[in-house]
Amino acid sequence: MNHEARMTHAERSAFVDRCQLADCTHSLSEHPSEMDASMLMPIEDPAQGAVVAGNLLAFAEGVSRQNKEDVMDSFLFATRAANFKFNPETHSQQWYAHFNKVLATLGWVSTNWKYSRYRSAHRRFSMERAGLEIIGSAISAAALPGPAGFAMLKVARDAVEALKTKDEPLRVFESQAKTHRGANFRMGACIESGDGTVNLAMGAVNFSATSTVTNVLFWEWNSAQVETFRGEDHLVLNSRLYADVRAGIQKRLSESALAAIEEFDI
Amino acid sequence: MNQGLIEAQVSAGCMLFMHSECSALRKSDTADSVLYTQLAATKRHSRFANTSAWNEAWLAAFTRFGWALEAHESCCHRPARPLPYSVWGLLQDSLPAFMPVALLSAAESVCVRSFERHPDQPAIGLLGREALEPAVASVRHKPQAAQKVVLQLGLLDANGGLSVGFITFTQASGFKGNVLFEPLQVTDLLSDVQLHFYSLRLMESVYAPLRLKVSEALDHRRAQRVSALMGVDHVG
Repeated sequence: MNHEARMTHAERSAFVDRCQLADCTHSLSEHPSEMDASMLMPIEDPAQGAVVAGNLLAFAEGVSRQNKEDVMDSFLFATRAANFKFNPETHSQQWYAHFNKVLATLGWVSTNWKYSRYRSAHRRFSMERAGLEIIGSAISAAALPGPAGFAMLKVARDAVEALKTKDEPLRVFESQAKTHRGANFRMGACIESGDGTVNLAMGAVNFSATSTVTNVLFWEWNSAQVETFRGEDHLVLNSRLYADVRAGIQKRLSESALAAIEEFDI
Repeated sequence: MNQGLIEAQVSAGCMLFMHSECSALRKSDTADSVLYTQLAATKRHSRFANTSAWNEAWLAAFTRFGWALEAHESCCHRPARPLPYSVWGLLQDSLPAFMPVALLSAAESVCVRSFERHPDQPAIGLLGREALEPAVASVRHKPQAAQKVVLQLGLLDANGGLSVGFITFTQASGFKGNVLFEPLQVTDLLSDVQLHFYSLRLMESVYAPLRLKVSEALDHRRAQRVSALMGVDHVG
């Protein structure tokens, strides 16, 4: 059992209170906007998916509103905490180690985290397809019942398709995912079982390219042009543990968007 | 495109042109963002002594306030054609594909007409004070002749997309009058011409919580920092 799983309620709450959060990620412009809850951009129908900082989260039918909010808040919090600690472009392994540590502290149980070099089977590939391929691998490794795995893959594909046609969420996602020479993003497919358990398959992509990136997800890359790393995980939310920190997380995330005014006062 | 389709104002060191068909809310958000971000950048860095850091701070503020950066391009060069021509020519020489050429041409025409009719209007004085390095006394107590130009040009299209051109160079002799149209001499250039172009789009959901605070913060500053071009539709 890891350290986070043994933490007491008081220790978890203290962690949430102390956790330092980045106001911005490392993007093309160095300072993209990431503004608390306003960065939660529903793609179309909140039942389908949302762009949360550099995370594209897709929800299967049946995930409760509370669980969706908990998933989105967890990922936003963990992303901002990891962004504060590490530059995902230069320290991607450490970035994901901290991201996973924060998720674990909030009550997410990781069953199968893997991080390695990604090699496409095709000479040309897009990051959108790489992300879906990695999610597919995470779903297979999770050995979820057939219909559940199928539903997760379907909602992930649907969320990516929806993102293609929605300018604003796509821009938010890309501005959050971009690094100087590449991008760092995650796709998550979430399902809730009959007993209320929340399962999430995550595919993570971190890549750097020899040319400037303007289209993170849908550009067709020649595999020789990019160095890509992949992370995959199957996460299960311990709702009882998360309930202990929910209020603290929401308080930290909903701290005023007016921080931007304070940051750039005149 | 006739003059009636363009609204124009000087906002600190930015010449801002807005398509009249763009929504009133987007025009006012754009005008406030353009002014606020320049002031925020100037509070952090000198516009003239540390232009690169100033520009980074300006862009950081712009994106932090909800403007998504869709495209950008930078270049640094000596003019391709023999001078003289004005800053308009410098911009047009290097204009990337994402910049709205027609809107830029229309904006130039609007400016030409406005300054022909009102050559001494307050807007040009304001732009000179904000975009031109103030002259300082040298060790011999003579006014410094060389002058750095740090000028922005903003173009808000009918669909709410904002394109910004950022131009900076130093010339040996200071501008005598209108920074927008005074002819430049190649022998006068003491530096390369640096150009940055940005294509930006406002994310309403991000800016909305900030709108009132930004507007209030600017309430007492607009009078000194914003001036509509005369003979052009007034920007409310």
